[in-house]
Amino acid sequence: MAGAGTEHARAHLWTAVVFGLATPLTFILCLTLWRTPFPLTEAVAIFENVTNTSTDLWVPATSYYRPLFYLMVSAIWHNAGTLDAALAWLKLVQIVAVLLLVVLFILHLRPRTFLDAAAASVAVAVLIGSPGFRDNLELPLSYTTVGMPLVLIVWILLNRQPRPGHAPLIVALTLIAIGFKEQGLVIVPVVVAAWWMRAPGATRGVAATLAAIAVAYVLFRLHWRAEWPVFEQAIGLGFTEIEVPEATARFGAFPYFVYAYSGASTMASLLFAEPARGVFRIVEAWSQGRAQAWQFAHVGASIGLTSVIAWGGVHSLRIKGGWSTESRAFVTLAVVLLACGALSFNYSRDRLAGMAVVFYAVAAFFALRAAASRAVEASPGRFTAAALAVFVLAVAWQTRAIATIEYVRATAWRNHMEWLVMLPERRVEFAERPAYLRIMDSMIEQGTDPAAPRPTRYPAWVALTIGQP
Amino acid sequence: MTSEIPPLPRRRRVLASIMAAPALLAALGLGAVESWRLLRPQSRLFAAPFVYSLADAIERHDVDQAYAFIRAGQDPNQPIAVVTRGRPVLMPPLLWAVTTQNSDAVRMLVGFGARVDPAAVCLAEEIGSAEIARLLTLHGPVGLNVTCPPPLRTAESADAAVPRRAPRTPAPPAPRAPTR
Repeated sequence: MAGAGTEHARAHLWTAVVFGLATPLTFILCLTLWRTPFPLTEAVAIFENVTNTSTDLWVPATSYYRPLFYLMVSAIWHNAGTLDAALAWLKLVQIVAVLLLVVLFILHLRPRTFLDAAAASVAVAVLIGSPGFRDNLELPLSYTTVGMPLVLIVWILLNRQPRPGHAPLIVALTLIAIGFKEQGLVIVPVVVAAWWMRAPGATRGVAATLAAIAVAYVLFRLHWRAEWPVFEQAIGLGFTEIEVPEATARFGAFPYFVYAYSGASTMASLLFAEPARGVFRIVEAWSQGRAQAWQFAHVGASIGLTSVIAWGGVHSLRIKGGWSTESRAFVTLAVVLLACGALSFNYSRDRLAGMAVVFYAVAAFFALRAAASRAVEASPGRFTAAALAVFVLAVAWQTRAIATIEYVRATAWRNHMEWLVMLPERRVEFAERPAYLRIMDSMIEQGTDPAAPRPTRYPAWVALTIGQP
Repeated sequence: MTSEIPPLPRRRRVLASIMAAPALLAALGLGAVESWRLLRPQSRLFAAPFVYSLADAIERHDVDQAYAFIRAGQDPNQPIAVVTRGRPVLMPPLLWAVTTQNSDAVRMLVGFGARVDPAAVCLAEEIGSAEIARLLTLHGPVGLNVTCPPPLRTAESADAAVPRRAPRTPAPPAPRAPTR
């Protein structure tokens, strides 16, 4: 009993240490989000949509189907009382999702030793520094930011002994995630794979229920298939981005190669930091001799960590004695990555890998811990090399996490500038939409507030190292 | 003390320290930068270089600080003192924004109450800034008649002398629902 108590206390201590290390980053990130103005583009149109009573949120009339997101925005918009309160609540949705994700992530890792805590501190940086997370931090677009903690909760439940309320909770969380954005569908293969890997909380019933829901959902969406364009947004291909009309003209007759390329690009962007939006920008910059330090850091950090995860995953699969949490996390990462790739067939964006980021970070924790445990038993030369490699990897991921804060600041600044310079054109362009103009005019004050965050004016060498936008 | 620790635990501790050190440094560094931001918000690390006037801000293409003057109560139509061709002159901020070819400042000033007059359109034409001329004619008052004086320097700008009525482009089709 005393041993168990000591271990419990130690776990509390090291978990607290990781929370302490993650707090400045998370707090500053959330504070920046709180002070970020809503953008003129997208935000006003979303608010106009929810004021339009003739719009049926449940009918998937367009390629984008996010009924619960719109339901949430509508509920807040119509019940908050004032504009300021509505905007504050919408920001809180984004902020609480980020906080919940980081807190649950650390609690799930629950480090028990100093080495665990060190690996967890890198894993938190991986979570926050991944482009798949960073690209989802725009206001009020909380679609995937809400989905990420939900998939983590499901994963935690799947790895616990089943209790009466778990199965309905998993189904409900899945439906909520799908209702916010279709990326939520990746929870279905997570549960099915967990059931196949005999995860304690993954019962046959819950796997079958979710599989049935997924099939029904796909059939429901395919019912409106005729209204989807071949390409919804600009696509990246090789070293160039191609706008929709040109892409449709060139690949519309047989888009499947481009679809496969886009899906693979989304997966590769998480694993190797290239390509972004389907375009090999870093490779192009390197081939032209104009690559910057941050570009090497991003690609190097991703390739390095992905290699460690691959090694750790294969290592965990080779250990006899059935499935472990480590091996399940590795296989689940592969499954989620494939699902994210499939769901981003139409165009590739970093944000579309958001749901896989959770598992990438979990797998990073297990792999780094396993690699470190192996390294301490190696020869002095190998130990030194491993220590150096781990240090470089940790530094690179911490700079990427800091870059996320600068990215959010740059986004806030861009939003602020939109309000300063885009008003005249919007007034002409939307002259026939009084609701749009009314909402836009009511939001000018929040958009032009001089207190909006702005990127830190770091010295050039710092900006080039962290990749300041 | 450390020599008493068996090799494996010592290595474990060293490796853990190496892995956690960047996180600690990042946390301390961020904390220091944010504390500095609170204490010295006007430090070069956080604020753009100081501008003395609306004219100065427009000339430096610093739209945010230019807007700060408007927000603080400066009339966007009140002439401001500027130095052009070595001589101090008074001109409306919009004209100065056109002179400095600062299209973002033009947008900002028009968005926050600056009146578009034919002189600004003609000036944009004369200095060859078609984008700004288009912006001004698009966002000027309905029925704005622009008759620019004959070209001062080049025959190429003869087109500018042709009287014309500012065209009103039809509103584009309503965009679809937000896309992400």
